[in-house]
Amino acid sequence: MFNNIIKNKFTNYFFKNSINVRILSFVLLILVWEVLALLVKSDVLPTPKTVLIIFFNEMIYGEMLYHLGITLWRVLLAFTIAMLIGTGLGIAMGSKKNLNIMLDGWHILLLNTPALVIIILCYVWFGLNEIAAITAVSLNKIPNVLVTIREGTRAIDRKILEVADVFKVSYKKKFINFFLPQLYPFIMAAARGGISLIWKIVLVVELLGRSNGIGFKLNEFFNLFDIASLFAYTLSFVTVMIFVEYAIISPIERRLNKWRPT
Amino acid sequence: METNLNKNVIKKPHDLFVDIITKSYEDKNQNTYNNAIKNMKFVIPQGELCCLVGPSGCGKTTLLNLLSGLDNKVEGVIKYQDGTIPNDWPIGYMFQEPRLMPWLTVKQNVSIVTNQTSEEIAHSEKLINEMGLIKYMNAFPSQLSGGMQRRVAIARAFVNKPKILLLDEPFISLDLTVANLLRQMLIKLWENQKNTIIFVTHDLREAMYLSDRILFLSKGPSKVIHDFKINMKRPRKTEDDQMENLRIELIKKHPEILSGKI
Repeated sequence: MFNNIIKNKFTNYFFKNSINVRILSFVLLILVWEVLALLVKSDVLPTPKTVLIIFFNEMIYGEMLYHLGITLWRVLLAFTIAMLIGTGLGIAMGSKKNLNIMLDGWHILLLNTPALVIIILCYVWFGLNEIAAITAVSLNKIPNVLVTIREGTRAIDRKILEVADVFKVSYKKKFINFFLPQLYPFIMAAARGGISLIWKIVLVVELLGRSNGIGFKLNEFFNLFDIASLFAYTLSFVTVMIFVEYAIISPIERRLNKWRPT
Repeated sequence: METNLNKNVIKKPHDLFVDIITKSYEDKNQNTYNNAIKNMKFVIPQGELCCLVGPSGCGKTTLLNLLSGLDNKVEGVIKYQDGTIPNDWPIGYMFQEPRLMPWLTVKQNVSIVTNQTSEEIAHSEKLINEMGLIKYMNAFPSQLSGGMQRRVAIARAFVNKPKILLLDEPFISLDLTVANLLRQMLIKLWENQKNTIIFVTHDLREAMYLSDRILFLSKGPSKVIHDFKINMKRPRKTEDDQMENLRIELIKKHPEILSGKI
């Protein structure tokens, strides 16, 4: 019984700290992978160790960092363009009824066009170049951003804007200090969803029409049936995206949510 | 322009003249125009604390919107003695709810409606201090009680040293002790700044405690039906025989003004 109490105390303590649970979950994933790889014993599913060796080899001696950099640059560019245009259109369509009616049909058309169709059309129309690639990715994301921001704009508290009006706050200040902060949760939601969607589409765009970047390399490994390298490159990208989430997006979100009661 | 001003009173540049012939609004459901205000005429000398008392739905908020310049579609004249209109000068406003920006600190909430020069920020801090909130300077509204949030709203209403201060039932839904404290604080700031105050309420006791004068409004279309001066020294007591007698006398003499029938 005494033993039991100690055990309970330990488990309580262990599970109270969310970091511990995260580490446990990660270790479990690696274990499952290892066991599966050992059971299958095939090149199709390399062990974590093989992948890790290739990962560091490619990073230090290979071209991994170059391709990773190129892909990240495209993600950043397409993300920025999609967020700016999507937010602008979302605000405009959320606040102007007629504009919304006017553009809504186009928006639904774009929202429901498969990513692949947009990519192929962009390459056909603009050629196999960087502009076509970035345009294709942005076009895929803009409708999603637009939906979220338009909802946010419709949910704006007019009473807060009235405060700006009665105190005769300038138009610019009203927008930046009274309007935009109400949109932040929606902008953050759009950004979060945006990053994960965009990097997936960037890889497809690279695979179809670029001669560098992670997507291009993945295609190469597919043709060579080099699954271990494919894993290593994927790992590199996922690592970066996790870093982006924890080092950039989460801190910004915490900062913006500081005022919310906990 | 013809005025009700006593000829013995010296005219000041910001005596306020209100002469509204009609103010109507469109009823979108029935596609008709309803008169909210008709033949409303009064003069408020600069620096007077005037309460407007009337049945609910008598167009008090409509009147405040006209005075603040939020709404300027009116047949009639609203102007100061010197020919300017209230909207040419700083205006202070207090709504029924505190209407603070939840994402800004107490200090930011007050200073945001100024041009945020160093003097104006210092003035914001001074007002917050006078409201007894110095400890909460950097707190967020969600950390404050309802009464404290109203105190921030009072500080904000005074921060631009407004010529005119419009208060739309600001102490509604507060318990009596808190409301009394806030009324005292309001009087204190007003005695420092000597702004013209128009205070809308339907609580006759509150009106008598606060004001120099009460204008009783009829039900819509609204006009002034009784003009009642209160010549009592300040500081006044909230529960005072003299005031209570005055109130009973007033109701006896003019039973119609609070009946809601006219």
